[in-house]
Amino acid sequence: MRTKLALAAVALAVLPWFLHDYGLQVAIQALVLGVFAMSFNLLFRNTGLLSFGHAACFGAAGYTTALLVSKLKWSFAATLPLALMAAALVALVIGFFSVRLTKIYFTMLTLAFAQMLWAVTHKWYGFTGGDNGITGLLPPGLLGNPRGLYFVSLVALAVVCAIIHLVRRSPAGYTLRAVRDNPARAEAIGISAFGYMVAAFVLSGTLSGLGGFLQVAWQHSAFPDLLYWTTSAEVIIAVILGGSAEFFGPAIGAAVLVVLEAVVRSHTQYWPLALGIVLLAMVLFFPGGVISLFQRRQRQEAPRAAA
Amino acid sequence: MPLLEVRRVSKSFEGFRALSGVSLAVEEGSLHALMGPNGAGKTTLFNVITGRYTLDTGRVVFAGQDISRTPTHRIIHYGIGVSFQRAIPFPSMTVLENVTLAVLALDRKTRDFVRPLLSYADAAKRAEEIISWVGLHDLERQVTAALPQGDLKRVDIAVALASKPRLLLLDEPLAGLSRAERAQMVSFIRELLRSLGTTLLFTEHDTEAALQLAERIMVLHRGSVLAEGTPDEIRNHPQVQEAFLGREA
Repeated sequence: MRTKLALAAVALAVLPWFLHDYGLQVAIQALVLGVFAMSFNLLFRNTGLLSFGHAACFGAAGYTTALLVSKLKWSFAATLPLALMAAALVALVIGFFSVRLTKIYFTMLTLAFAQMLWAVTHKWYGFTGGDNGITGLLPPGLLGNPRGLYFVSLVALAVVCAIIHLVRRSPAGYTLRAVRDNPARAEAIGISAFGYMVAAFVLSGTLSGLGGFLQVAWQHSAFPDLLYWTTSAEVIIAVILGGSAEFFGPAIGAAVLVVLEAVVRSHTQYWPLALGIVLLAMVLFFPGGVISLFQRRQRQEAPRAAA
Repeated sequence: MPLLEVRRVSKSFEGFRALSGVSLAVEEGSLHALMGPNGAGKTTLFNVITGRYTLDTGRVVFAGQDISRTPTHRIIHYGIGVSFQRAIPFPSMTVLENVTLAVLALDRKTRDFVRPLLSYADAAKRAEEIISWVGLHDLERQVTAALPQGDLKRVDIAVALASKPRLLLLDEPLAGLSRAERAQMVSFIRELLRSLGTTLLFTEHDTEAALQLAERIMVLHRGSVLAEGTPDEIRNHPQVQEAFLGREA
């Protein structure tokens, strides 16, 4: 595993030198969605809660950066702490009210919160620019240079993965899994689920905010789409494609989704149709995600190698 | 003074009276059974004691403290451990992780988001001791989802023992076990009482098993107490004979 990880890290580190401009843009987009998908899966995988409102955290961070840069002339990098705090605050409010519910009720409540935030952003022309968004945000230095932004995004993805790895092995991570596996048993050993669920939601939302910050740096603008339900759907699709059960599944799913979209759109305008077909095939034949394809192949090759 | 006292507890669900003025006293160091057919109110009474259900009227007193309406996650800190009827503790974790988590939960150390679970050496050591005591040492690295029902019950009891309970509640400990597993579980429960001195209160719908195992028995029928006494008294109780033992009074 460590060898594979080292090889993947080296490959990702040298990738920009093998990509032309458009390829590099696609790679950055894949990394940003990877950050978002890994963060989303921290909640989904560990608690079993399917949030349809993570776009609110993603967008809140993105808009915080955009507003501070455009209105107060802050430097891009300086906005990061406040962007993350905004994402955390939004996650705290949504999480506090939503984690009391489960299943479809939880999902619908998170969606409702995110759509409310989207509606405010969409209509508040005087502050957010409404549907005209906030444009002309040109980050200086590393963030303004595609290769620099690629490496910043790569480091962000590595940091998010490291945090998730730590959480997964920690007592709090096991506690979340205990609540997911058997809530009644968890309570009987002295665990009050509510606080842990809110904490997981806030951590997941804050890390999603890192994705929102990078998204604004990449597209040099912020539009209400950042908070729209389609953004939440996109991250769920990435997780389904990659496989939520595997640690790196969401990041791989994000890369597959972004690259597939770029390839399909270069040939046809029917990207949503192609996406629908791919999703159907994945859910019906490979519910474990793209990563399960490789594992299945490895399992088939192992006996042959042994023979 | 009894360790656990249930005083005139009633509980209804949408008009259906599941418990009606039930009183129970469990002495420290005893092996006490709640007996009765399905629907008699045994599990409801368990859930009232453990705070999963809020009682309508009455009181639950443990070691002199009123624990009525105490939430389930706080009950454990009073010294009450629970093992469930459908014993599937945390299936995605190994046996050792299950028990270590329970040890840390008792010590309120589960809020740590950074240090690995098994790096808490004292907790892991105590978990290993409990796992060895319940006879699952060879399986401590096994994921619990893959274990047979008999071993799962032991894991669940090990998880409950991690809280160092003065009173251990076992909900249908013999349910779903094969004949051989039942015999093992009966000796295991007796050993629990003998070696650890833990007071035990268990539910059982199998009349013969309850009569063999318990020192005192309370028989519930349709949410009310039908009889209470030693196994011999219960065996000879006319209404119990008529209702459960298939004999004419």
